[in-house]
Amino acid sequence: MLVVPDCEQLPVAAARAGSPDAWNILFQRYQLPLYTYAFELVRDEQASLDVVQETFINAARHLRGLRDDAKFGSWLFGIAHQKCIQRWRKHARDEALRQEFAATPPEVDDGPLDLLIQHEQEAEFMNLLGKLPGAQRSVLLLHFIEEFSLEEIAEITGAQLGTVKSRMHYAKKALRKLLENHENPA
Amino acid sequence: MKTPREVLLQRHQSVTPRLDAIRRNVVADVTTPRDREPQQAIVARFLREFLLPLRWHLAGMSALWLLAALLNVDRSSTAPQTAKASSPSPQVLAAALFENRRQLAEMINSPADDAATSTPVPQPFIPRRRGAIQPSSVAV
Repeated sequence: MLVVPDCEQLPVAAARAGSPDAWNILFQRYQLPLYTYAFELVRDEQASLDVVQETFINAARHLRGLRDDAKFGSWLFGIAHQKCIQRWRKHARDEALRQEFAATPPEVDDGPLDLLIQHEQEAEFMNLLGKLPGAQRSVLLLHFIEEFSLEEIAEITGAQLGTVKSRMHYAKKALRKLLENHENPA
Repeated sequence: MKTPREVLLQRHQSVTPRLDAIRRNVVADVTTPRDREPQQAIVARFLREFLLPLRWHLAGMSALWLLAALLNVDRSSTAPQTAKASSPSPQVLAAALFENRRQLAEMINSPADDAATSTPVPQPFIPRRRGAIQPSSVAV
């Protein structure tokens, strides 16, 4: 079981003052979630490690620009998201992604997804996650990994709130379908 | 039963040692004041090696420049007053102009002055033989 401190307990101010211990705590808190997010988007171990490293370096350089310390997590994921987009572009996949990100399907209200995954479903869950379009996968990962709100996800990804909502809806719908198929195999 | 978060993070748990190494490197890089030290050292060395030995020279030169600047300011501030004091009145200027015109008219209209002031026309040079030269014209 992973134990992580709340955002309020994170020593952002101390890190801003240059404390190495504070930076260690901050980076340790987010290193695995950031890596997971990056890996599930770019699908490359070394590239994901590079994304984490570049995110840390950028965060250390620009922490003074962060006004609200409570938003450190979403701010950090925003940097990582931009790095992932840059990787995507580097691999000439940007055109398809841009179309995906630009698409704004109709907005649908949807309740929270309280997923609990059985051990035998884990592989299938990851498989389905990998099959989702990049934009939907990104939204779902941010929701799963850090439980960011829709507004925070919109800030991180630079998308409209309505777009994020609809992406979340379609992604959850696809996951539910998978789980139902698992529970009630035809 | 696990949450999606647990499934996702545990799937990548094996990469933690590499992430730890990255974190340590970045923290070490970020928190060492490596960028500031050289600048401070350069400034300190510049002060110690260049400015400190020349401090009296620089002070003297500064004093001279200051004095020159002050004198320049004083002179420039008094110059307009001096010019104003030495400038003649309009009546004097008009009288001088009238006198000047009168003298010019005199010079133009007097023929004697013309003859006196006109330059003599040079005679053309005619070469002569030695025998043709009169003895009276030879200097004794």
